[in-house]
Amino acid sequence: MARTIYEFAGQPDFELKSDRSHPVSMIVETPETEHADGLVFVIPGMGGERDKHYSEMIRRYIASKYNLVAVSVDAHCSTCRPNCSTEFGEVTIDIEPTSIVHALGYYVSQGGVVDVPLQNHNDVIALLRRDPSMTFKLKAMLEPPGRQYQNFGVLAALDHLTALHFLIDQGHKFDTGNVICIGSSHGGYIAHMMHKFAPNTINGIIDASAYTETVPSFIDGKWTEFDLTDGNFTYECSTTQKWQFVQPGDTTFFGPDRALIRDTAYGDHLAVIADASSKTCQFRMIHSTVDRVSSPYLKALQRDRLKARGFDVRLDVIGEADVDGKLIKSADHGMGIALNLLFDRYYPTMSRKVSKIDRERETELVFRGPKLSYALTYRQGQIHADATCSEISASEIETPAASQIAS
Amino acid sequence: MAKASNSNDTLTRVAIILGEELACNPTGIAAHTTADDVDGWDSLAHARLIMKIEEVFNVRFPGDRLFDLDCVGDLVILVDDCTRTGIIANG
Repeated sequence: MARTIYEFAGQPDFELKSDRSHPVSMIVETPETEHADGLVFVIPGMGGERDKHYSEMIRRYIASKYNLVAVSVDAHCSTCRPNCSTEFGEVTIDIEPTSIVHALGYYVSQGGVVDVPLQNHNDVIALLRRDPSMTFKLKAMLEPPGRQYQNFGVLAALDHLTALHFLIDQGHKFDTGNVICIGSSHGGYIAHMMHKFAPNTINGIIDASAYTETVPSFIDGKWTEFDLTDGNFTYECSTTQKWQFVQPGDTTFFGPDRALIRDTAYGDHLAVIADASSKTCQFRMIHSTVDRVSSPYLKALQRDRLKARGFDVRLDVIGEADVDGKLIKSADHGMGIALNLLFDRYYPTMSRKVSKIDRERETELVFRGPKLSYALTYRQGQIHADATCSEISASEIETPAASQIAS
Repeated sequence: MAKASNSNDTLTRVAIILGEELACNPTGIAAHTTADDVDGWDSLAHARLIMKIEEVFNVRFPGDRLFDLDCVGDLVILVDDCTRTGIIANG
């Protein structure tokens, strides 16, 4: 088995009209055989699965047991949580100055004594640290490596697809008709986004607890994405992002179009995918009925809509009674399912589907929203992505019926 | 070259690594010890432990056996198998 590390330029951020300064890295585990049976993208969620030792074990396990090329891609903003042993750089925590001042106010209001000079924020933090019995909440921004920001899904999906093309061009020998994505939570969501952008390229998706649409707390810095406890401090963390919600005319506005392109269960877009593809992708999903991060209702809707479009879909719905301590360790988000066991459960239920991949077919996809059209085209082996103002044809403008005009 | 090793010696060395990685008492580790017996031996800790053992013994375990370990004794057998058959880590 061989391990190779590559670096390549990521897709530009076509929504914000900016280039990428941070390269995309990937680690590729290749089985010992001359020709692998396919390729699997191992896409961890934002938590502990991102651990570099764990990722390596999962890749080696899948590559060896199933004769697949196993790939981890450090796609855009994939590394966005601190305290993980990652292969792709460190996330730093930037404490918001106003929250330090608020914490100091709370300290004083609770009888805390300021008996040292406070010349900067570090002095304040040292003071607040002195009494471990007093706890403070501080707002913090997570800064991913290379000044990345939370784009949420689009760029990460494109980076994975670019990685696939890169590996084909590098001469890696694998069955391109058997490209699988496995991921839990955000990783599973990225997998579905990859299928949305390359419906003839992805042959199978295995997801646990993957949400179907944008999680607002991940793209609005005012909300708390997750809490991080460090001694008597609790950091209410958000990842750095560039979206705003108040100026509709600006490219940074996160409006309905931005949300819909990131919705993997949106009916109109699923229709576009179905029309442009051979519907070869097989979906294997597992989801808890009490998941508080990813709506079980929307997951069921996604299943129903994919099925209605003719896809091979299986959704295992898990309740408290299904917790077995082995595959399913809890009914919470993620269900504590190890990726190796998830793969063992579902990969054998999939079959290779003979189909040309999108870059061979030169697929063209146009996803329309209220104001913007997102176009993804495959030309000369490359993906081209753009979002432009929708042109509404005359036939699409609703003409009031005669009776309505009369009234 | 593969280093000659026997199970008792391997068990002792594995127990010491386990004690260091999981902050537990290595004298309490036996061949029949399982992950459930040791606080903090979850899937992430298991991955860390496996990588550390590979590094210390200078072996590379077959990928398909990485998760196929029910107890410390299985891990010891795996280490001995790899050292005996000469599955040595590159570099």
